[in-house]
Amino acid sequence: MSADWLQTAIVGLCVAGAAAFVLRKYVLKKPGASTGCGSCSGCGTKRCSK
Amino acid sequence: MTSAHVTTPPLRFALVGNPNCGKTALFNRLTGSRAKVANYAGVTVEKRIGLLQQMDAPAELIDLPGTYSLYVASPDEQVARRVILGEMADEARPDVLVAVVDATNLKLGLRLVLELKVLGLPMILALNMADAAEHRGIRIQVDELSRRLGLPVVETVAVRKHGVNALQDAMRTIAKQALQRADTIPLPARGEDVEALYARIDDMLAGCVSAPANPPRWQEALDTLIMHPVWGLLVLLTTLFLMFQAVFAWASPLVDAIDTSVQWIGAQVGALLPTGILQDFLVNGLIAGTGSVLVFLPQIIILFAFILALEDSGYLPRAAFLLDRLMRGVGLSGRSFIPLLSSFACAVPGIMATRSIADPKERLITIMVAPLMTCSARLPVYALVIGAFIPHQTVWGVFNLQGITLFALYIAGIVSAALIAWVMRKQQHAADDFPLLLELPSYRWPNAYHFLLGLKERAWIFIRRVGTIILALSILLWFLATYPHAPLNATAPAIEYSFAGMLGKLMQPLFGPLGFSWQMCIALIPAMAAREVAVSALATVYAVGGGESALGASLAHAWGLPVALAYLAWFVYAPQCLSTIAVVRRETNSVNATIAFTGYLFLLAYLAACATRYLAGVWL
Repeated sequence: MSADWLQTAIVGLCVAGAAAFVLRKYVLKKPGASTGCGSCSGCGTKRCSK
Repeated sequence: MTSAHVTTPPLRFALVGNPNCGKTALFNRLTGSRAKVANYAGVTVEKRIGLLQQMDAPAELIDLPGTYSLYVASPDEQVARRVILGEMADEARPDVLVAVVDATNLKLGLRLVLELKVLGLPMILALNMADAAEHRGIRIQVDELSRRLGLPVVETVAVRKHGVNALQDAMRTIAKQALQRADTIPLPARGEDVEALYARIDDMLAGCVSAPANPPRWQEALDTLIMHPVWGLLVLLTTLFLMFQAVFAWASPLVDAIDTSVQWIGAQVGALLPTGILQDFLVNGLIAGTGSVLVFLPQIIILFAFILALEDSGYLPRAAFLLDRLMRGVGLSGRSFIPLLSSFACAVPGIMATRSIADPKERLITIMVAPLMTCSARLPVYALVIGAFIPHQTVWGVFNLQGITLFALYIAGIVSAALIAWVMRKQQHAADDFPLLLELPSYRWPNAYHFLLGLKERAWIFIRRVGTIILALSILLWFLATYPHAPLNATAPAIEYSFAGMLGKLMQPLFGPLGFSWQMCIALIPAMAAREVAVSALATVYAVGGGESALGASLAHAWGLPVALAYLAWFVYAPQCLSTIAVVRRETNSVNATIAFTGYLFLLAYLAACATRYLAGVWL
């Protein structure tokens, strides 16, 4: 029972962390905050901040 | 009587020079990389400003956009000119100019320097990339050049900090002579035409700069072939064709090795943990999700190996020159080539690179068609679907059918971009003619160190992406595909009762004409954030934890060839990346243009997928 609870807590934390990461990256990002797109496979140009 | 402190504004230095002459590296050296980045008022051109270090009095440094001349007119170049002349709103005129010139290409850089000199502002000349010039056998007598130009001249290698102290000394000295004035400077009328200006530069350089003689004859002979309107095009097409062949033919053993490793790790973790939520999460969410994308690392590396080698060998500017005539036929020019080529890595830098296009109409068209160049994020999706549906067989004894299919997808994007550019150009008035000016570097073998470093960077970027955004989206997808659980008396697979199942079924009627199942619809949503996630999404919704080969087998069983081709067609055209849409909004500064961009690409994707499914159903 306690193991189930622990497993659920670990998975819950991971899911919440992933959701926070995606929200911060795509929803809560300030406009014009970065010149890098954050979603490319990298361009290597000077303007790309990746 | 009152006393008031009058604070003197800091002296303003401006770095001005051609694009890619090392201004920004010098800016970072002189300011300690502490820059404030913003946009110039009313335009989307970036402004970088920082406080100068090692000065006697407070002074600031502006890094101006690269420009070739004061008399040219791309958005970047206009901003540079207006700031120098003091015409920019809310932007004081610089008090001192630091002209940065690429020492390997003095002639091109000095054109701008001579134009700037006429303005009468205090100026220093930084001969940057002095090490590269020396490496190429270019010898510059700095003192003599300084005497002939009437300017202080300093040799620098910004990337290695060489010469930065000497430049700072020169800046301190000239700061004492500089006067702070807020007036604007009128742009002098052109005193001489470009040819006369270059003739004057030749005279100036004669005797104080020595360079190796003309390129060897073999280079000239190679240029005759490579830039020939017919043979050159054939060479270009053959190169691209070989590149896509290699992506499939060479990558297979490595892809299989990673695939097997991912499956092994999944099996070990599955065996180690008791059956439960954590095991399911790790095996089916985390490992299957990220592993299904990671297996495409070898293909990404091979693609970039070709691009880096072509770039380093000096071939790409020649390809731009070659395509200039062809691109003019569809209303673009060779200027659009580099932005479009960059878009093969990612549309975002490609769209940002359009700032160098002087004609605003051509720039808008280039932005509109840039996402049709197949970005590397599409490669995992293409590779998965092609691997699942196109037989691994040899055609005409040499070519790999899967490689041919991949080549066809890239060509479909390029041809579509050309057609759309042509149609858009027809809707507009005739454009001004902006001739293409390109420096053609000498051919050289790619430097092994830079090549491997570039490849390592690309690989690391991909791995980091798998470990961040793709990992996060895979976790969320697992959650959406697992909850809520199926009821006890459920008859259908559990995923149908989940949030992902509900969402997929909600979307399915819209995508029904394309033949997309609700599972395929689910994969389209996270692909809006990053296209590769479509692969891990498919692995999750088809509950496949056994790696790429097992996922391919599942898809081959579930889809059918016409639907698979329709799915590929969708990915050729759909504007499936929020970052691209955001950067279009920023670069066009227009909501209408952004809506038109998104709308036309979605419509095109829908129609192309629909037509592909129908035609493939009839013919195949």
